[in-house]
Amino acid sequence: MMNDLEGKKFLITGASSGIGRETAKILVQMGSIVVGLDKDEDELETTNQMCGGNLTKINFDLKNLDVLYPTIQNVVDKIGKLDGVVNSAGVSYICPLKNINYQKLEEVVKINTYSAIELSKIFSRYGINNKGGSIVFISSIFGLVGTQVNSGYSISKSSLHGLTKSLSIELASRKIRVNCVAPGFVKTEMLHKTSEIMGDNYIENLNKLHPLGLGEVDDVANCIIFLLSNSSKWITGNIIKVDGGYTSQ
Amino acid sequence: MVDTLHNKKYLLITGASSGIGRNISINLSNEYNLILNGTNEYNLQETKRMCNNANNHFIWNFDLSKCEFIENELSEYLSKNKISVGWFVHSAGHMKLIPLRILNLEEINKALYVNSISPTLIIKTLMNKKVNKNCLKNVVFISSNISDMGAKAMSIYGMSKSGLDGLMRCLSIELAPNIRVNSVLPGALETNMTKEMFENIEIKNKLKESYPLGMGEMNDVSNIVDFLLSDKSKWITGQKITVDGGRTINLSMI
Repeated sequence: MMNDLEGKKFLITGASSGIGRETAKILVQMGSIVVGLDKDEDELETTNQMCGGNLTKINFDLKNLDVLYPTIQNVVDKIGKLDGVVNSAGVSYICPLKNINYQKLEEVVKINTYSAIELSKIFSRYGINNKGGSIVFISSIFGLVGTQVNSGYSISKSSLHGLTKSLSIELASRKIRVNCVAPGFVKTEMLHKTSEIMGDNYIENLNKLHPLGLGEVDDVANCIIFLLSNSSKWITGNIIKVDGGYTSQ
Repeated sequence: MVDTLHNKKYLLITGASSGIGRNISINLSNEYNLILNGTNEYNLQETKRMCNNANNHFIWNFDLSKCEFIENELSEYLSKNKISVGWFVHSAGHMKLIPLRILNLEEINKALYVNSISPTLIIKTLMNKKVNKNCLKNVVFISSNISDMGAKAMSIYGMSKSGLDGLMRCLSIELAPNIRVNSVLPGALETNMTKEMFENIEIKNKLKESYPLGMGEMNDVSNIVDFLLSDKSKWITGQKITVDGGRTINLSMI
């Protein structure tokens, strides 16, 4: 299982924290060549340190999608064609319906959704992918189930599910697989920020609601890595929930 | 030899005589001590022979359609051999293409007993403290990508597999947090079970065309089973994972 990753090249957005960071770390440990993209230069360097200095860094703000292609082509020219991409960059948008601001929503959708599309567009271009490969989107269980004051976020994440299914059919003939991992409540910076807004006992109560308790970043990273590897070569168009059983009850 | 295996935990795999069950057994035989279940003694011995560390594995020759005897037989088998089961992979499956008008109770029972009822009673037995001493940690069902989908002449097979996934979901909640339960939903693979279907050239060609990634192989299934049994998936439970080259989300054909 997963013994084909050595020497393979992967691009991860949102590599400066959380799930993106952990995925980069584990991939480097397994011998892969990893390109980490993020707008936070300092945290990206921290990820690089955690990868023993082996991370290729791209300091990039995904608000500037129209110049993403030359940026990635530049890196590919230096290190060679990519075997897969992981779209882990994402922002939350906790907001009751009555306060939803379309400008803010557009920003959220740009980062969470448009960047996934642009990344797929770029990866599927001739000269970027290594005769096929694997695209992994990170959505959220909130693309599938409902909760309070989260409609903006859920729009941006559930759209990735439709995208996964469409692109998996469209790109199959080019041997590119497209899958999506939908994490539940994982202990990350994003959850920490949410708990600050939601108040005391939020995390404790959440934990009780999970058959398997709250998750760790490596729980999600390991599933992403499985989807990047050849061990999953017949899996495409899937949305895999990694959520400690939260949505199964 | 048997003494050193006492108190070791075993992986019970049904349907080990052939096809996906045999393939999974062989691929897991390095990492796990196996109990190979099936009904064909010759084929079970052949599976065992093809495994790594062949002498570490047991054979349990028992017909899973005899549901009224499962609890007693399995309990006795484990007790007699002084072994316990940590992992259970249900790969036994009965499939027959039967249009509605020629369905009868006998055919319905065949599918339901082997595909859905036998794993229920096996897990009940493995959860019995006296019999299995709280050893069970992980269960994987081999379901089918027909679960949640429609196809002609597949009503009973479909029912049994949707039922199996319903069982999986409820048990994943009931048995949490110590035991994880998940299902793998493969697409069509050429095995003993699907032999008749693949012998029909028209069906075979239609199948090939309808798979966006082309036809798969049995290792595609055993790879995800391996992942779900391992610690790498320790936060995944109650899930159905489809392994079918994109077949069931593909409507851009035929």
